Order: sequence, then C-alpha cells, then structure tokens
Amino acid sequence: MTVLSSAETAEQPPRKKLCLSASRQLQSKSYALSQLNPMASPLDQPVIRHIKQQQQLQQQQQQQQQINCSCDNESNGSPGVATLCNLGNTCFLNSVLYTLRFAPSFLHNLHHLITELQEITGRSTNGLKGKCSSLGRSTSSVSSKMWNFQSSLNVSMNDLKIIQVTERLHQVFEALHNCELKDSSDPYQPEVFLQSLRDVNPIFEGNQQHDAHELLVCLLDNIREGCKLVMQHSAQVNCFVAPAPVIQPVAPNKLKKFSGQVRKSLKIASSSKTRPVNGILPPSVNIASDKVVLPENDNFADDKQMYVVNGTTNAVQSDENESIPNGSSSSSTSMFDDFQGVSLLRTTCLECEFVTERKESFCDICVPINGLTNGDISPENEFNPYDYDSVNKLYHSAIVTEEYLQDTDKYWCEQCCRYNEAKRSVGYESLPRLLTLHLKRFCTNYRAVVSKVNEHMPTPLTLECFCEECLSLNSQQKTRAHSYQLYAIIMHLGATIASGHYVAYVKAQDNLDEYINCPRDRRKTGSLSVTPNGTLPANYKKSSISNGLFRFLKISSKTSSSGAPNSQSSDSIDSGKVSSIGRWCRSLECCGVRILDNSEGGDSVWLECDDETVRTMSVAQLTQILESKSSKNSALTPYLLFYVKVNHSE
Amino acid sequence: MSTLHKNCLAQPGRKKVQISFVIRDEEERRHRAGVNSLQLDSKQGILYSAGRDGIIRQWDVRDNVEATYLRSLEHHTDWVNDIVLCCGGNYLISASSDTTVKLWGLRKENTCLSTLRTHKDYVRALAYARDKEVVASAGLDKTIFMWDVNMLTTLTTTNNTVTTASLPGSKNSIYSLAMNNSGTVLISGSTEKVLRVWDTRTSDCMMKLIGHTDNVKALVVNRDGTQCLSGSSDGTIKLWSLGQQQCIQTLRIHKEGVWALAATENFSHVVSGGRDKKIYMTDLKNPNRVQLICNETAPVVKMVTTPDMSAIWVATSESSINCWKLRKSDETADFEDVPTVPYNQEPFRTLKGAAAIRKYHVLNDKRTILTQDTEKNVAVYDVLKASKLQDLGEVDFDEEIKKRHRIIFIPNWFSVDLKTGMLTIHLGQDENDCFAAWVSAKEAGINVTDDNLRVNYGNRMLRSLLENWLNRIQTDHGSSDGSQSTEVNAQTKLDSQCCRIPKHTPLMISEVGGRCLYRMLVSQAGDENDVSILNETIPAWVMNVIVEKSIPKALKISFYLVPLSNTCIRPVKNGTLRPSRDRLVANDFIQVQKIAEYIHEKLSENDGSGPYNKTSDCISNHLQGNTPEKNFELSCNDQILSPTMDLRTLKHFIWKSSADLTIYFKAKH
Repeated sequence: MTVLSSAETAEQPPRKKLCLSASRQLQSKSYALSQLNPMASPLDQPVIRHIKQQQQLQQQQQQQQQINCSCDNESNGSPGVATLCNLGNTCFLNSVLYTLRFAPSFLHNLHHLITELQEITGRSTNGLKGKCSSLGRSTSSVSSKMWNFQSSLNVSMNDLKIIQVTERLHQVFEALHNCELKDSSDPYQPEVFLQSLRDVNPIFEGNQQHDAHELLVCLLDNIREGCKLVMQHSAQVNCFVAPAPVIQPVAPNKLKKFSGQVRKSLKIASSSKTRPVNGILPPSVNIASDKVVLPENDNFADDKQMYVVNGTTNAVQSDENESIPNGSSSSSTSMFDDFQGVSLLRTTCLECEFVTERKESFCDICVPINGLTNGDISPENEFNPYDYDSVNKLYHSAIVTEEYLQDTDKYWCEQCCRYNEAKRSVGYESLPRLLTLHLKRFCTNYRAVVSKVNEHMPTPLTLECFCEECLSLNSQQKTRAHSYQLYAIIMHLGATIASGHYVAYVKAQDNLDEYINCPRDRRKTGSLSVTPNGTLPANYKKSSISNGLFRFLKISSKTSSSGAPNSQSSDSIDSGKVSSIGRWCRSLECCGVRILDNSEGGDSVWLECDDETVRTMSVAQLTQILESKSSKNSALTPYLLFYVKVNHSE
Repeated sequence: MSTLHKNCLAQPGRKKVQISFVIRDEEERRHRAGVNSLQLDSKQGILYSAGRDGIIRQWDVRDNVEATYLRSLEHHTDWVNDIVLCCGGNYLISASSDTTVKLWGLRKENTCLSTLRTHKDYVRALAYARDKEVVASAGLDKTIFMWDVNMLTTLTTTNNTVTTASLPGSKNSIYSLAMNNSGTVLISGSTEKVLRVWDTRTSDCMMKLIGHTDNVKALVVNRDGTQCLSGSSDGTIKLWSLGQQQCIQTLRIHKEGVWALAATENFSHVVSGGRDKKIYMTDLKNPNRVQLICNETAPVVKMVTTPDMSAIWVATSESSINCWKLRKSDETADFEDVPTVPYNQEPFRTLKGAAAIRKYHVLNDKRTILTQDTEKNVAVYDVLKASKLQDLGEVDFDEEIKKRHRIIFIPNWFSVDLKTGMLTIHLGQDENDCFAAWVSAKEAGINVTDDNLRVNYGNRMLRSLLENWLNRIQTDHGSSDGSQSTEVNAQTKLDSQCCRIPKHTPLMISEVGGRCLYRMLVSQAGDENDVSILNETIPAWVMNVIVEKSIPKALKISFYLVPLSNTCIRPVKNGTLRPSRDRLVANDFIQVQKIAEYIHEKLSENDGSGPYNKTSDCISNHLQGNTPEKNFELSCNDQILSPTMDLRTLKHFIWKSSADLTIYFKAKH
C-alpha cells in the first residue's frame, strides 16, 4: 500500500465514466483486462499488488478449509466483504446500503428494531409466529401476515408497507452476512428490497438513476415509522400491564380509549419533536421514556445501566411475553434518534431585541457549496483547503448561519407591533450521534433544469462539533464536548442527478463492542446464565475470522508481512473478550459485519464500495481522492458525508 | 409647510397609495408609547422628547418648577427615532421611521419647516457637529447624509433644492451615529458589528474598528475626536482609541444589550443603560469602580445628562420619562464587585406618559373596535366617527369581545395599525377592498325612510375625511354640479353624505408599506396650499369614487334556490318539470326577505313561464293578502332564516363553506 504515496497516484482514481449499469461479466472482464494491460492506470496497481499479496499469504497459510475462494473473488480484488449487484442504475441504492451497513451500530439497532416489529406482528397473529421468524421471502406470506397485523393493531396498509421495507432492508444485511460466511463472491441482488421500496415510494420505480440522498431520507423515514410503531405498541402494552392485573379484563372500552389517548400523545410528542414521550403517560411508560432520553449513549456503561432498568421492570412483570416490548422500546427509538438532531431557529428583533425561538428536528444538514467564494469568513486570508481550522470554519459558516430580515422583507415584531429589522440565526441544540451532511451539489437554475455544482469542497476527516453547547464552550476557550469523525462518504460522478454514478467509501470499523452483553438481546429463556448463545457465535470462531475481512486488514497493517501471528493475537483478544464478558448479542450472527479490530495496525482502513467491487484503501489514499480537484466535469465529488459523534471524556 | 422634493409627491411610483388616519385626542399631552430620544435645552429649561407615537413634545423642566407639558411638534407619521437641537436651540432636526428627516423651527412658529425625503428606509440615527452646524442622518437604507443646518433653514417652498454629501460604502443598516463638535470625525455603528470611522471632509471611510460581536446601538465621541465609546447588543461597552485604531477597554457590566451611553465631557466617566433596565456609571480610569444609578422599569433607550452632570433624564420603551440624580464623580463611595443597591430608589422627577394601545379586535359590524392598552384598560372605538366611544376600564378583553359578538357578516374594508400606540386606520391596503362593505342604512345607524337605501362604509369614510377638500373643488367647478343636484335621488344623496369626524384627525397619504407622501389634519384639507397638493396626491381609486362618483361595485354571491321536497312547489322550466336547481346571483347584502319577495313574485306569475309549478291551488290562495316574508319560510343547513339576515351573513355563519350556497324554501301554512 505504500506505493500509493507516489506522486503519480495523486491523480484521479480509476472510475467508470458515466457507466451506469455495467453488467457483472463486463466488469470482471474489464478488470481482467486491466490486469493484463501494463498501461493500466496507476491506481489499479495497488489492487493488483494487493491481490498478489493475498495470494502469497494464502499460499503461506495453506490450512483453511474454505481456502478455495473462487478466482472471481481474487480478480475483483474483493477483500472478503460481500458485495451488492447493480440491478440496472441502482448504484444509488447500493451506495446507501453499503454506507448503512458500516454505520456504527446501525446493523445492531436495526436487528433489534426488526425483532421488536416481528414480535408485535407475531403476537397479534399467534398462528403465524413461525413464519415470521423465517422472514417470509415470498410476498404473499408477508402480506397475509401484515393483514392480520393490521386488523389487530389498527395500522394503515401504508404503515405495513413501510415496515416491510425496513424488514427487507434487514434481510439484505442478513443475506450479505451469509455471503460473507460462505465466502461467496457472488454479488447479492437486492431485488426484493428494491421492490418493496418501490411499493412504498413510487418515485423509485423504473430503471432510472435516483438521488442517493432521497433514498436515504426515505429509508430513515421508514425506520422512524417502525420506531414509532414499536413505541406505540409498548405504550399500549404498558397501559395494560401497569395497572393491577385485576383491571385488565374489566373495562376494555376504557382501556381502548386510554390507549388511543396515549397513542395520540405519542404522536404529539413526536411531532413536536421534543422528547419522544411526554408526561401524560403512565409511570411505567415514563421509565421507557427515561431510557429514550439516552439515545446517544452507545457506550457500554450506559447500556449496562439500561439493562438494570430493564431487569427491574422485567421482575415486576410476571408475563414474560408482555415485558418484551417494554424493555426494547428504548432501542428502537434510539435507533432513529441516532440520526435526528434538533435545530434552533432564532429570530431577534433588532429594535427590542426580543428573541423568538423555534425548534425543529432534522435528519441531515444541507451544506451549500458556494461557501468558498463567499468571502464572509476571512476575506483577507487566502483560504487553504488543507488547513484543518479553515476547513472547519468553512463548514461552520455554511451550517451555522445568520441573516438579516431587512428592506422590504422586514419582520413583524409582536412586541413592537410593527415591522422592524431582525436577525435570523440557525443553530443546533443537539446534534445526532450519526450526523449526515448533504452537500448541495444539485441546484435548480432559472430554467428549472437541475444542474450540478462541481466546485471542490474539502472533506474534513474530523469535524468540530457545532452544537450550542460546544460553541459556548469554545467561546469560553474551553475544549468542545464532542467532535465528529467521518465514517462514510457517498461520492457522485457525473453531470446531473439523473445520470452519473455513486460510489460509497466506508470506514471498516470494528463494532464488536456494542454486541457484547447487549441488554436488548433477550432469549426465550430470559435468564442470564451462560447459554450457548453466551459465547462468541460459532461462525465467528478462529477459523472463520481469519477467512473474513480480517485477511485484508492484516495486509493493510504495514508491520507484518505474514498474517499468521496477527491472526492469532487478535483471536486471543477476542477469546479474552469472550471469557471476560461472555455474552454476544445474537444479532451478530444474523446480520453483523465480519470486521475485526485493526487497532494494532494504527491507521484505519477504508473500503471503496462500487457496486460489485469492494476494494480496500488507506486513509492516505482516501484523502488523495478527496483532495483531487482536477477535471471538474468528470471528477468524483463528495455528495453525502457521514460523521459519527465522539464524546471527549473529561 | 414647505415641500422639498415635490416630484416625489407627483410620482409615487407604481406602489399603491393608501389613505390613513389616526383616532386620537386633539391634544395628546402625554407620550403614548416608548420614547426614543431626548434633547435638553438647559438655558431655556426645555426638554424635548421624541416619541414612538410620532410626536415630539416639549416639557418645561426648569429648576424649582413643577415639570409640565408645553407643546407638541406633530408631523411625523411613525416612530421618531432621534432628535438633535441645533443653532443654540433655535431649530430641531428629527429622524423618523416614516423615512423622513424634518427641520423644526422652535423660536416663533414651532412648526415643521422642511422635510427631507432622501432616505429610502427608516432613519435611525442623527449626529450633530456644534461648531460647524452640520447634522448627519443615517438609517436602515445603509446611507449617511450630511446636512448643513444653516442652509436648511433658508429653504422655502420655492427654493427647495438642497445639496447633501452622502457617505456611501456601508453594507449594513446603521443604528448609531456620532460626530465630534468640530465635525471632523463621524462614526457609524451598524449590524456589520464594526465601527466605521469617516473623514467628513473627504467622505472616505478612514478605518473600521472590529471587536463587537453584535449590532452597535450607541456611540459617543469625545470633543477632539480621538476617543470614542460604543455600546453594543452583545452587552459590552468598548472604549476605542481612534489614533491607535484599536479597542483600549472593554466593559462587561450589562447582562443584555447596551442601548444608550452618556459620557462626561472629559471622558472620565460613562453612564450606560440598556435592555437589562439598569443604569450604571463607570469610572473609565478605574473600570472596577461601577455604581448602579437606578433600576428603570423598562429597557433604557436614551439618556441625556444635565450640563453639570448632577442628574440624568432617561427615556425607555415605556412612555414615562424619568430624571435620576447622579452621584458626584468625585464623591467617594464603597464599590461592590457587582453593585446591586441603586443610588436612587425613586426618580427625582417624572414626566408621566400615557398608556399605549397594544391589542385590538374589530367587531363583526366592521365599524366598532375594542382595544386594550398597556395598563389593561379596554376601550371602544367607532371607525366611522374616528373617535373613542367609551372607556370600559380594566375589564376582561376576551370576555368583552364575546359579549359584543353579533351574528352579522360585513367584509373587511380597512386595516388597523398599532405601531404608534394609537389606532391608525388604513384604507386601500392591498388585502382589503376599501369599498367592499355595503351596509343597509338602518344598520349604519342612519335615519332614512326607505329601507332599501345602502351605505358604502369606505365611500362614506373617505368623504368624511376629505370633506373640506371636496367642498373646495366642488365650488371651483360648482356650476355643472349645481344643475344636477336637483335631480339626485335619495341613494346618491345618501352616498354624498358624510359623518362628522373630529377636525383634528391627522390624515396621511402614503405608499402601501412604505413612505408617507403627505400628512395634514382633516380641518386643513381645504386650505389653499393643501388643496393643490391633494389634487396631485390623492390616488385614482379614491378619485374615481368620491369625485367622479362612480359607484363602487358590490360583491356578488351566487346561490341555489330549492323548494323543500315536501311542499307542493316544483321547479319548472318552460312549463315542464325539471330536476336541476335554480342558480341565482345577488348582491351580498341582499336580505332574506328580498328572496322571499322574489319567490312570491315568481309564484304569482300565472302565465306558466315562471320557474315554479304550483301543484295546488292552496298556494295561490295563500299568496293573496299576505306579505311575502309571512308566506314563505327559508332555510339553509336545516336552520330557519330570519328575514332580516343578509346573504353574506348567511353564507358566513350558516352555510360556512366556500361552495355555492343552497337555500330551501317552503310555503307557510
């Protein structure tokens, strides 16, 4: 990988120009050609080199039972990560799927959300429970189940479709997991998922290219609906369970009314976008809401705390079945809160300086690109796109804005009873754990033609937090409470929104920590005693580990030429983890990504996910791609930036 | 008054022109809303105060005399934002949110001598150089103009051109200005958060002083123009050295924005006030020596000190003006870190203000307005009479609205504005058709014999406001009008009638949402000078109706008239029964009894060509000898309609839908 630091490679990455839906065969052919062709672009070299290394490595090892990885796999340069097939202009879909798959703790949360949704549906249709667990692949079984679900929970058909999309999303990840298990090199075809997506949102119909951002918004919306449903359900269950059991059978009408009220209040709460559950609810629900308040905490200590809370509630409730959603409501709401922040719109009358505030929740922040030419920030100083501070300043000024309402656009001040000038500023009360920045690459010009802004916008790997708290800390010359680390980028190549190509760059991260002693991982036995599930899942044992992503990760660490010692050391780390904590969440073996910690390697590893092709790259390679400014029209331009919050511990 | 830029009056541009008037007492001795600026003529013992009610008042504040109101200077139509006294107290210059700067003569006439209309937005600040008699004005249009006062005083109606130096270059709205006595340095504070220092001789911006983090609202410069103090909405006061081009001291005393500053002549002490309602005096040589002068009851907007620095007059966003004693600067006292005990508990002198109207509600008759003021008093106003009807005292505002609610619907024909703390009524604003309200004479409270007579509120209002002017122009070409007057019918007579409104009512002609073109009192509208200006400024939409006498069009409502199915009346067309309904169109003020009359009339037609088929003779018998409204019962949405209800009320309160109205009828037995 060191080869890449040479000056030649600072050019553009090898990209299919405007290739929308090259078939798999064609692609592999082109790769084969590039291998043969000595004049292949310099950036192809690392791939080849990497493959060679891999081959060497495998020869050395010579002991794996699943060593017979297909030649396809090798020629694709696949690092053992399952790939997604382009179904015809679906790179927008694939790039988002890759990103979500590698988003910190997304898979884990999704798994639990799906389990909860299934439990709701499963309970309401006792007979079909078995079918649910098999995640009906045929549309008919799902829809029949859904119909029953509808009748019992009074959910609209549209809601059911939305849930279905989320379930199918989970299926995709499950399938990718299975691909990785089998070391199958065949790209997975997310057809079923795409179909259900089209059912919900007709704009994705037809084989046209779509906006990856639009898809992301749509998926997050669906997840929110799912979370809402689980919340409603758990509130309902709590209404039934919380009062003494005597009441339960007595007045069904009353209870129904009450639960309706609760649902209403939930809706109000979610629409007013403050706390997910407000004070109208019975105390048992408030417990749930208290947990909801902690959505940002994905660290272990807080999970434990939540677990204790769950434990007490479980103890109170005799019926195991009833306790399920109670314990789990927190996870599903936090799932969406991961993406949701609260923005603060302040209007200050310049005459009386009375401030009116409006809070709004958001899932992504739109960043205008013309910030570079806008000399507001530092007209005197030349802007340096490589300087950490100036890049952060640029983003800060583009995101935390201030404007004046003046001239003919004055502000009606209620205090002064007249039109005055006013200052309108946008700030952020809280930022989500997973922050999405949407670069405004596409703008509609006066002829209603959507054109692309190709100007270079630097992509910082670390972004300073700009929430109210951090800004006030910063103004007091103190260190900010959090910062944001880049974990994925979706890049766009091409001239318009309707054409072009999307590629996702994701950070290969070890998310195993969160799977350990997961409080939401309930067993039918409900006990904490060591069960077969309590250890690292069977397919994560040594043999398979060294076969998965681990392979390439070892290569990336420059220190060792052979992977064997490393493999052992990390295995021992893993077994250490297993022995000390001892309990892995079951979702790991359902849909988890098989990446292991590469902390000993120093630099993190990034994956370039381009439909059927997934390649590894170092941070240095990534920054080169991000900084390349040449040839405006064909360049890969960062479009969606994904950051994860890092809390600075004091 | 003299008019400076007459062409401005003649060409109001494309903007729609509105006519407004203020409902007020003839003499408003007290400020109605906050006071934005103060000037003290210490020789004469007169305090000048500029109010948000658009009035500049003079107060007798001589020592040993009870402070009393002297007189008002009225001509502004919006907040007066700043005033300066010049030429040794002979003239006053004022800046207002009506976008004008006015020059007032104080010695003899106490009137507005000229109006400067060069600003295009609210004029926010003035600065005065005593030695040169130069005044600078600046505002939200981002420009600064320099005025030679001696030249302004020589302006007359014929010689009304004035040259002015403008200082362009500011990109932000200017909220504060300061000039030293010799007029060499001008400093402006704006939302740019930067102080710009201008060289008045070259009109160049000499420097920018950067440091504040919010709007700069108060500025003071010392005599020789070497130092200046600035107060900002960020809550800080900064002392700047203009020679070093930098901030030499930052005072963080106030918790909120600093809006007003006053400094001693030698810049040894500064008195500051702001949004936090507190006034502090700080020793600039030892900034830890801070004393709390007083706690005001409202945010402090402006302060002036007496020449001996023994007392300070304070204007706030409330209408009273207080005078507080200042501690002698050489007096030693114990200073706390954060002074909490004020030096004054009570103001030493007070000029009482009056309450400002803060809330209003237009009742359904579209003529009565209920208001509530800052002291929670509720009052009833009549728009048509342009006067207050009744003071209700401290009663529940919403309760009073409910009590006076009537089921009647009349279209909006005016809009209300409270920015001056008094009721201002606008006619002809875009969203309201001034001539929409046709009301029966009875409803309008006019004694006439004929029930069919209608009054148009807008027409009547405009006639009342412009009565003097109308009389004047009608006598000018009176001959033709005179010949017609014999044959006018009762309706036109009623139309040309007007109600008596107070003669002191100010009348304003202005662009909608913009600048005032002309202001006068209703009684002045017939004066020689004003007639000619009115001829030029009165908008065409007013001319057409009150001069050309084209009758404003009434709004139409379309509706279906359907016989109830259980009656013996069937709709017919050309002699045959037909299923469709009868669609009719009528003026919106038509009463239900008129519709009953219509049905009666149609049913009485015996030639078979009428729209209804009488299947029984009983109807025809029934029809005879009865008045129409007793014959038929009309209903809508299952509600039986009162014969005196009009169509628009019916549509608004009973039909409650924008779709075409359906009225059912049946014969009474």
